[in-house]
Amino acid sequence: MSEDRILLVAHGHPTVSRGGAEMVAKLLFDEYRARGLDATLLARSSAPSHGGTAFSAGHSLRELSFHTSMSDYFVFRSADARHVFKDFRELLLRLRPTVVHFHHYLHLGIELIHEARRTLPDAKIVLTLHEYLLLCHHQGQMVKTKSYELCYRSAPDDCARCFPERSAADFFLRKRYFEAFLEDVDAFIAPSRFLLERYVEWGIPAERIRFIEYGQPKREPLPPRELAAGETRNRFAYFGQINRFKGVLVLLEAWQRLSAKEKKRIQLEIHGSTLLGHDPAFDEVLRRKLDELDGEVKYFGPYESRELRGLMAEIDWVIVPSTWWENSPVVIEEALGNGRPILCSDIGGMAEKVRDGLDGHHFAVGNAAALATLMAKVSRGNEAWDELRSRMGPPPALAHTADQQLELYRTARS
Amino acid sequence: MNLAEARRTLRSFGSPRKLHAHIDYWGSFQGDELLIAGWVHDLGATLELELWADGSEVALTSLTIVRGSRPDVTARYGGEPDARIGFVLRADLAQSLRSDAELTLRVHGSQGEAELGLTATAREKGEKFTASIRGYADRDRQAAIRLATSVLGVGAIDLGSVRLNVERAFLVGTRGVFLQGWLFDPEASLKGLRVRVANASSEDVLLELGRLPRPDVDRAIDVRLGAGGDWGFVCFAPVQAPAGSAHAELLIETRAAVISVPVDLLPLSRDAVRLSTDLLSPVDPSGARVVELLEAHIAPAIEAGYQPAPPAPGEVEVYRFGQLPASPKRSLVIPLFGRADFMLYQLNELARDPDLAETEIVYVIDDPRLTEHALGFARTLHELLEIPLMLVDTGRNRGFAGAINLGAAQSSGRYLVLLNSDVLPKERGWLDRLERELEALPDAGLVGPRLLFHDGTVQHDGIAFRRDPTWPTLWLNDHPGKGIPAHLVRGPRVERVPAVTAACAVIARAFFQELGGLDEGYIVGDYEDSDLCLRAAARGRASYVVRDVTLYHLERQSQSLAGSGSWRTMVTLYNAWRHGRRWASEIEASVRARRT
Repeated sequence: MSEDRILLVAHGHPTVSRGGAEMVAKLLFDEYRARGLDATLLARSSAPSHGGTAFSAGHSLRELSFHTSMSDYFVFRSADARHVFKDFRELLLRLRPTVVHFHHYLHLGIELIHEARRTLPDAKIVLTLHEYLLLCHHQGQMVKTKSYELCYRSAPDDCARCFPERSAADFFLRKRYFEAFLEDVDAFIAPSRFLLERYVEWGIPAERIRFIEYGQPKREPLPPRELAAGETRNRFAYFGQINRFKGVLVLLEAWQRLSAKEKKRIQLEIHGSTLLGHDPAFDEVLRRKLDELDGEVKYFGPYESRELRGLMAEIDWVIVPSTWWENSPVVIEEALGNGRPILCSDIGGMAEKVRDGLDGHHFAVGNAAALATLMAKVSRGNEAWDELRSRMGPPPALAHTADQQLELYRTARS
Repeated sequence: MNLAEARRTLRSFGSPRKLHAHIDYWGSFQGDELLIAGWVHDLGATLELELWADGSEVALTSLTIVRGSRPDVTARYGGEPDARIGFVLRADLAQSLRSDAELTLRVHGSQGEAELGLTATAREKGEKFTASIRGYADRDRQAAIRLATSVLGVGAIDLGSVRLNVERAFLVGTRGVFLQGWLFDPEASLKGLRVRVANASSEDVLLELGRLPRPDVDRAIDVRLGAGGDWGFVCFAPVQAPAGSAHAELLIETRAAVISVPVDLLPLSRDAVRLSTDLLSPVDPSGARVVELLEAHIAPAIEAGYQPAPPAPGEVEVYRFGQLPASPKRSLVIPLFGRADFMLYQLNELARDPDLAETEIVYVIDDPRLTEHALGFARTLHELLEIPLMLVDTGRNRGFAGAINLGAAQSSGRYLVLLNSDVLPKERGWLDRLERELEALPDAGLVGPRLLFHDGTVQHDGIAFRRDPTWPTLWLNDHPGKGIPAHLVRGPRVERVPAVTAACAVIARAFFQELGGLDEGYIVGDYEDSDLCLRAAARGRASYVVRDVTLYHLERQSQSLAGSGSWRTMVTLYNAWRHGRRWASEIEASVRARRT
């Protein structure tokens, strides 16, 4: 068994913040603990702490909160340097982890990576990359700012065109700044091959980055939903956080393109919500659209991750219509684990994780007409669904992911 | 030129020519004063100006214009370099404008017209004002600055290009005057500044003023001619003043004369919170020169003005509930501040403790707002829990040190347990265990337990000292391990530490008295505990933390020292400064010893 003392650093705890990266860090932590490993999770919290301390034990004495924030989202600077050189250092010196596995620097400060290296020269430092934030100042989406077109290249001149208030030199500085911190990282983890290639193209040496999938705890797929007499596989659902890159508007537009007859036959459910106040303009557009479709499309709002399996039991298809590349959407792994075929955009991490014709079907990204046609086609009978169900693979196993990561801790450059 | 004159000017007839014109700077102050600087390329003598807001003309109560040369403009559009085509105007409006009103200045000159929008890009950019008047002849420039500064605050003393505004002046005992305000003197033309009270006058303090940034003054008008300055100041001017003086004079020395300006003196409060609010709150704790300001002005004023007074006869009231032990082994002295309901939880634990029989419990009400509430708890709880109690009402807020000293004086136990009301025992028998450690350690002066937050992270594990890059010359009290899970904060079961917190500490009464109790010169409450420990150490008696005795401390302080600028942070800095001045060499020795 591993003798490592592992510190996992995440930018949020899933009880408070429902993003995929937070969930993945917590799943991994639980897996390590279930194996009896000496693991500690340090999750950033935006709430104030007791007595003004940097840390508290909000969830358990091994699941600590880090009450800190950033001052500069361009280069992910810590808002309080004391939290880095004093508090985080003190925690490292007391905990003496042999592995510091960062699941993020966002909200925490990228300086933490260097602090870990400086304080613990012999520790293995690992960074899992969850999106393209280092490459792309546009929320790490690799999507153009004004047109929301897909972006294929991170380069100072291109980036400056997305942000006229900044110069190409600013983006050059940004990249140099990051590169210096990344030198302290012994190994990077890319949860998708697509993301891996993007980062290698950007400049991370290929020998220091490994493809390791997120992984799901082992469980049996759900039985197929029981159909009423004459009913077909006609229930489609969207699950997850909603923002303008998630393609929910494409999905709603696809719904509007269905014929009246098809609309009677097909059900569409939306589960999830937008981050309040994050993008009010989009919220308004979405709200109007949902109001317009009230009584046709069922909008359920946010859900707890423990409720997801129950919700998936009631539907047939999971739709992942994102208009950005994605990395490795957790909802795809969950759909695979629950035995629910997937319809997804034909790009990036989605196209990679959903094998076309085996785990589900692809449609042209952003193309509502194509999605409408696909929904109508696959729900006409039950054969399409039954065939996919018999072929679809299980999601990557969390146990396997944990094995691979523990192995990486052992072999990573020191 | 005033409004009437401007109105009296003639308009040219015929189709007006469009003039070259530009607004460099404009600002809107207190909603009804506008300051605008720019130029109109009109070589004639007269200008008529109208201000329009959202399409209708704005009524003005006064309009003052200063004109000056703009060689940069005439170089481009023609005319003599000294043609006074530049303008600075102050317009006082008959009524306030909406902050988002769309403003237009219409100019009718001898040679044509112009319509100028007051755009966001020119708004309140002081450097643009400076640039706008750079080409003016000296006289015009001074007049422009005078006009500009005339929109700054009511009550400022106008001395040509200099404006001085003493916002508050406090009489500090009989020892001097503490001034707070701003002095705008971009050309350093003032020669001296003294304070006179009755017949005595201070030394010249002009060069001693403790300068600090005043963003509000900057915002009102950010006129930086050459080297900019921090226009704000605080200043302690020592002067022999008769007690109770209510008036003083500022003696302002200019090139030409010494001008005397009367100021009213405010009395400095006896209350530490109010006094420190008055003296400390003008200063931003994250400012670059905060320690210099403390040292040169604020600390001398606090020390000259703050005398913790012994209670007046009848001011302190003592209430006893139940049969207190005749010669208790120990007295718990527990100040109450802010809330009294902690008594409910604390007494519930103490009542069940086997050590209760030999324990005298003394709550010190250090907050007049709490008296009724605390008495209410005492009346019912001593019956319900069969727990004898003493309440000492201090009559006013005396700070932590004052409250502890008063409570200690009323109590009689052989040991004193200094205790916060939000410290909750985790297990029973803790008092006896701490006392036995104190007895067993031959050189111990004080012992304290390990304290935990409610979530099991460390709140206190002994105090150490550290420097912070924000205030590199100060020694701050540090709390190693604070916020970190207790199992990660390891150390010997009993360890000598530089100091322990007074949130929970045991000391022999005789020794506490020998040391003279807690020093009430620290404001509100911190650093008096480490001060006590350092005084004990000076007599060869050390402080120890006992790690296998743990209690909870539900520390309420929600802002860390690093938090946003605040009076509370300034109080901490003052106390740290005072503590460091007294103990610097001991602290340095302790830090060296811990490093090795």
